Amino acid sequence: MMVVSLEQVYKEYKLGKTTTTALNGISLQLAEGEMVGLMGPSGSGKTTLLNLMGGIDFADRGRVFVYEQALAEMSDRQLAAFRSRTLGFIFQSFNLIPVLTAFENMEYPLVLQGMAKKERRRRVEAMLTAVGLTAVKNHRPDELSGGQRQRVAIGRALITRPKLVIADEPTGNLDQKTGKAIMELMKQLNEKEKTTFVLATHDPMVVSYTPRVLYLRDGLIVREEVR
Amino acid sequence: MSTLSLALRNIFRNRRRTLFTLTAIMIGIMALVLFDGFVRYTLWGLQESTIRNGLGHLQLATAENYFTTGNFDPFRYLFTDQEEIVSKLQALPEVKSVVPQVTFAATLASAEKSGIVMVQALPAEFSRSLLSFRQIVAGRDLQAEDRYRVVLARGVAEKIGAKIGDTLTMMVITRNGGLNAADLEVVGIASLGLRELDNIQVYLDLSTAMDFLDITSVPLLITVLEKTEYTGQVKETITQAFNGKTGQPLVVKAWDELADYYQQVQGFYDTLLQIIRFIIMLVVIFTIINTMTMSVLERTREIGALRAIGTQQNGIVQLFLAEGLWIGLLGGISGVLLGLVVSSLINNLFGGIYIPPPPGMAEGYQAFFAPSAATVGRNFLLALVVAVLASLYPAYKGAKLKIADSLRYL
Repeated sequence: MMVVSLEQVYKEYKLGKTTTTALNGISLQLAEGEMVGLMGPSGSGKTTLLNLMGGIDFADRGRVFVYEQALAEMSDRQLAAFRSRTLGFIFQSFNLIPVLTAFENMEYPLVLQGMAKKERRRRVEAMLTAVGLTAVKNHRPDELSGGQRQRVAIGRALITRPKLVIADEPTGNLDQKTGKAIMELMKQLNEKEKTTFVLATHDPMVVSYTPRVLYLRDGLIVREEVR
Repeated sequence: MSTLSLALRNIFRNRRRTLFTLTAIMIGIMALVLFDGFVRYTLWGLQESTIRNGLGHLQLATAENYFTTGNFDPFRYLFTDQEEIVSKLQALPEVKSVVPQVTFAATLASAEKSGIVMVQALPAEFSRSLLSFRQIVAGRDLQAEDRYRVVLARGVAEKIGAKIGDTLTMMVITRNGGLNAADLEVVGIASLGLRELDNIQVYLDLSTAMDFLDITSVPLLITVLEKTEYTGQVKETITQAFNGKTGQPLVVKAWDELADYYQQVQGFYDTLLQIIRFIIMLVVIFTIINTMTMSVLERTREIGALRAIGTQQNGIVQLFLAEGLWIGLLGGISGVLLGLVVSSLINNLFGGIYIPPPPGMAEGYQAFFAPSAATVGRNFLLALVVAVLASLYPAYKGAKLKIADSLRYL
């Protein structure tokens, strides 16, 4: 089954009187259990592509399907439920909730799913151990280092065991060692749970974990590597 | 972690701004509690002075017309079975006293001047209880043995130039249509508080008046109750107990049906209170809208992130409404508490505040603040409702943000 399918997708942004083409007719298919790297210079369309796959932005032309459902045809409520149950988002700039502790930030998506408190705690404790944050679980984001914050963000994205994880520069703020540990965690999930990963990155270490790498430039896939 | 606990943490993110908003609500609610308390005390004072300035709690007469034209023709409305009605009324536990009264117009003359006065005649022993808000400013009040002696309202004494010890002549048309005149000794001058009464009222002992008018019963029975709150219930009891069981028809009027001035003042204060409440709430609404709009703007990226991880639009609305609810709750509680503390300080430490004579009143008075549980509760609820309503628009704007745009927001 195709997890993501894009058909001739175009997306433009208007900034004042200037129009920028972010995606210029991209077509793409991702199968279940794939781990795909997206590389390309800034402004090549990586983040826009991720946003369209995550249903938080919409194409001007063309169609985007996730699990064979056209995202543009879903209601806001259905999209929110889809993001909550199927998707994990890892943002370049963490986007943690500042008033919640590391523990609570990770717990939040499970609260949205209506999971029982006991099961939530068990899952969060396990995830904290997996990302190495047990010691700082009661710290708020402003008391954590950049690397720790990114690990909270990664934990928050993975805690619901999503089928599709969309990550924008997931290791951008991590040192090499922590970055590798996080990528190992994602690889394990990919192998064990068949989770599909799409990772936009500039980091060669990240793409060393992705058997398929797509190179973007000016809103188009210009090269594809399958290893 | 519930929406409410997340909202509580959020409102203290920008402590200074929240503090300013809470202060605005607190001052607004405090002002309403104080003003409510002031109005309540003033109306209570006016109510009691109206009742004890001769109106009593309930008035019984033999016809509806007595209350409009009876003072000029009291003879037509005299009770035929007065003794029986009085004893039945006195048997009711809520009734403190039943005071027979006759009120009539007369001419009063000194050696140089004369004028039309309204004579209120009741047994002298009831003067203190029924006319307790009347202040004797010169001489003394009427006593039981004071036959053919008179107490004048201050305005009347001034108009006809009378002083204590003077003898005045009163002229009246008697029951048989004849003219009767009597000499009366001035024993006291009283201030009644209300200017319109001060200029016309004169007091006689009932026995003098009955003798003078040549009558054996009165046209009006004034009932004074143990407490003003009993008025409605006793009126009902009397109406049911006496209906059709007396030789004459019986009309019962409660004090507030007869006190036009009280009704006007109450209406005036109610309107004023509503205008002040509206203005204060408008200020509170715009303060909260401003705070919440700033909050939505500052947290645009965060809203985008919340939505991206699966929060519904409703969830965002609920979060900001909960923040408004907290602001209303905290502002409301602190406003109510401050209002009660300031009321108590003014009442106990400063002995109230002096209010100059209001329009139509002869004297100023010392005002106290008497906020009731009901008005305090109403103001607190108002703060809650207004805070939540004021958060609606910012909450809606926050929920409608485009997720991708929000995440790009710097």
